[in-house]
Amino acid sequence: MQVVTTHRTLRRRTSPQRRRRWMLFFVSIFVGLSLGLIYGWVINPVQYVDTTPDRLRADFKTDYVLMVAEGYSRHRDLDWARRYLALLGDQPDRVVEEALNQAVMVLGYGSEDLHLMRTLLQDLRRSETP
Amino acid sequence: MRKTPPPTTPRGPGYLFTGFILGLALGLAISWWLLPVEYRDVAPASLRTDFKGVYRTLIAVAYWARPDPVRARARLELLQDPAPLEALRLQAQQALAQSPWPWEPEALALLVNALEEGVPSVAAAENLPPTPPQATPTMPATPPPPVSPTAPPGATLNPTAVEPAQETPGATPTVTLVPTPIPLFRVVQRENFCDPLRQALLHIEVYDAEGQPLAGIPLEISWARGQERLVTGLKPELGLGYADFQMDPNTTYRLRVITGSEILTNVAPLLCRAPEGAYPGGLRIVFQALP
Repeated sequence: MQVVTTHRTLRRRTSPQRRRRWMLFFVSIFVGLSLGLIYGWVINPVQYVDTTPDRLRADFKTDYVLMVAEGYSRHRDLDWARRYLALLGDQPDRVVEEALNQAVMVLGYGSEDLHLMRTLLQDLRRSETP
Repeated sequence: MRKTPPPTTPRGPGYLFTGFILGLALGLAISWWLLPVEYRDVAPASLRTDFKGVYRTLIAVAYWARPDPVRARARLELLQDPAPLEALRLQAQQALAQSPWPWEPEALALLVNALEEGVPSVAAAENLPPTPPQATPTMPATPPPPVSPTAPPGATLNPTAVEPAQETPGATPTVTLVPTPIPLFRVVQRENFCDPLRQALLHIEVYDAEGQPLAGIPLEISWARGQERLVTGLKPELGLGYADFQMDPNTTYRLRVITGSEILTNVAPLLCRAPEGAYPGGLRIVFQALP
């Protein structure tokens, strides 16, 4: 009986110390976690080096579409144009339309560039109407 | 009898270190695998290798359609290739073998040669005398940035790749937007040669009407069981108008310039005699554009 009492007393006495140790343990986990997240998200984030054209920034996408339109202006092969535009989206005419909007509203492309993109858009639409 | 309590062993701060390492590992796992930073607006330099090839081909075809070397160069700089010319040359060879569109290898070869001839960089081009800017639509609320007619519009927004293009938009070289006319060709020379180091080699040269070598001219060589496309200028060290093909001594070929020429038939190596024995000789064919 005496022994039991002594152990309970001991447990009660050490309890705050234990709590403190647990608390410090979780604090250390939290510090490690925070540092890990800062390192992985800010200092050394995952570098995407293998991305696809549809993830290009809007101005690069627009220039991509312009390049397709430039090429198309010379050889007039819509299949060729569609193949390259398919890398930006499922609907080639929508892709060109969005790029054209971007070119006019945001990027301020020259009239020659806009003309080429409009021609491509028109021809794409014309080819899709039965 | 009073029992003494079990001795409590003093524990060091090792558990703190364990907690820290656990947290760090968890943090890295989250930030690198579970919830990595997602880049949606990437630059062309981040494209996968094959898509960089697509981008390169587009640059070349755009250049082929509108020969603007400064714009082409600025676009190529966006890819940040360590050796852009080599990458283009390799791309041209791949296109020659794989592309279903004949203008792609032609365009790539043209661009290779244009760059080799020393196209000024974007920064250098801006030191040229200014030309009147192109008419660009302006929006009253948010006036668009002035667009150089020579640098790619994408590049003007890129703060790192072609930054100089942003700063002096007015100073740009004159742009020629007229597509290059494609001439017709005729054979002006056809001769066999004996060179043990160039056995059964079909040596082709293409010149313009003034006798200047022409790069990027597509040729087609066909035989009973197949055909192959060649483009002049892929071996610039041998001449801009040069292309070659390794013939099979037992096959007869037909050769033509794809853009327009007579068709050469009975193209085959002749036997050359040497003290060591006979060997298949080479054949040199020269095309020249009609004036």
